Amino acid sequence: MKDILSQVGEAAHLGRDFLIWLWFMSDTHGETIPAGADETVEIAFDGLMTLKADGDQGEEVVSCLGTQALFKEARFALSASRKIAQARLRLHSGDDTWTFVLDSTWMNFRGFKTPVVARQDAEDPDGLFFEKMLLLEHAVGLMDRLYERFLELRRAPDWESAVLPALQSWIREGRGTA
Amino acid sequence: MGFLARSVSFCRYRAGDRLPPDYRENFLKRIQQFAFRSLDERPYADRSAGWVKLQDVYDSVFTESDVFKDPYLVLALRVDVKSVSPKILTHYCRQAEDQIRAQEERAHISKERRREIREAVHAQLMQRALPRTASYDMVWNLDSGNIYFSSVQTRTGDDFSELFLKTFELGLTLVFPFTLATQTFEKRRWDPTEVEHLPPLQLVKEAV
Repeated sequence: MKDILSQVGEAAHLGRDFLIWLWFMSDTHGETIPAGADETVEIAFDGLMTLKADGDQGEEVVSCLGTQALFKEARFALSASRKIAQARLRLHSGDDTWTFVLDSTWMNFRGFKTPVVARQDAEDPDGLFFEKMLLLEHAVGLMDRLYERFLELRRAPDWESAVLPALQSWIREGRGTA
Repeated sequence: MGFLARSVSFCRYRAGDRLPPDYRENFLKRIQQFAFRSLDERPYADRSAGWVKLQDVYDSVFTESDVFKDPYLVLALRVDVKSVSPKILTHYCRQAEDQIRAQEERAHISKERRREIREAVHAQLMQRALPRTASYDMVWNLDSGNIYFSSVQTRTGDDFSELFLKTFELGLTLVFPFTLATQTFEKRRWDPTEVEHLPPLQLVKEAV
């Protein structure tokens, strides 16, 4: 049995590739992505992204804040051995919107915000807790289903012939558009 | 900040094994057994970690309704740490050494004696130091086995895993891309060993 750090190191690309695929899908599918048999979600990359590169001087960290033009430049940087480390996402489903930073190595959620919930009610002291957890588990479940969808496509026979060329073209399009 | 705050950072775990039939009574006893103990009760320790109530870091006496909010089991991990800054330790060591030189009318103190002085000064300062207190929420969905822990720090995660395993004596798996992929493959009845062989995306098209 391998220890956690070995598993994280050997499969670090899984989280990175998932974030790249999400970015590609949100950019090319009008932000609407199927998350299951009869559910779609909207994902937007929300103005913050961190890329890392292993250079001669050690690890180099590039943070991108803001505009779509910069994001296109960041996208092209992926082809120059920069690796996506984390991105701030806006997840929208039904009437609800969540924002959080998803990190590619551990798939931790940072700065996670649920839709606004009414403050605690004296007659129902646990109401806020249950409401918050319901919303949190819903968002996490949606992200898990998106990850499942990514894995399903990733192992499908037409990944190499259909999805990958489109993704490679999308990365190339980032060149010189900043 | 915990799960009731406007914003929270968290990681996820999965509890592996099935719950024992009498888990409510059993868990409540064991939670109390591993409840937070103040550093005042353990004068020689510099760190203490244990369970407290979710919304009251100073309360570690549990009733069933504090812990079980069906389908969730809710607790907070409290970690107290005492430390002495190296700068302050050096300052007080110099003072103690100067005093000994004056009392014993000697210019030199041996390396071994200086080590003993340092240990004694450190122990004195630790007794006077106030602990830093931090707490982290744990919410465990007992139906699904999903656990949410409101920290993304490795050291805190280690404290949590250790205490969880001691308290509940159940398997615990950290959720990260590899383990989540393996669980997904198992759920979909795909061969989970495939996960190890999924290569990284080739982002640049190879020249033909």
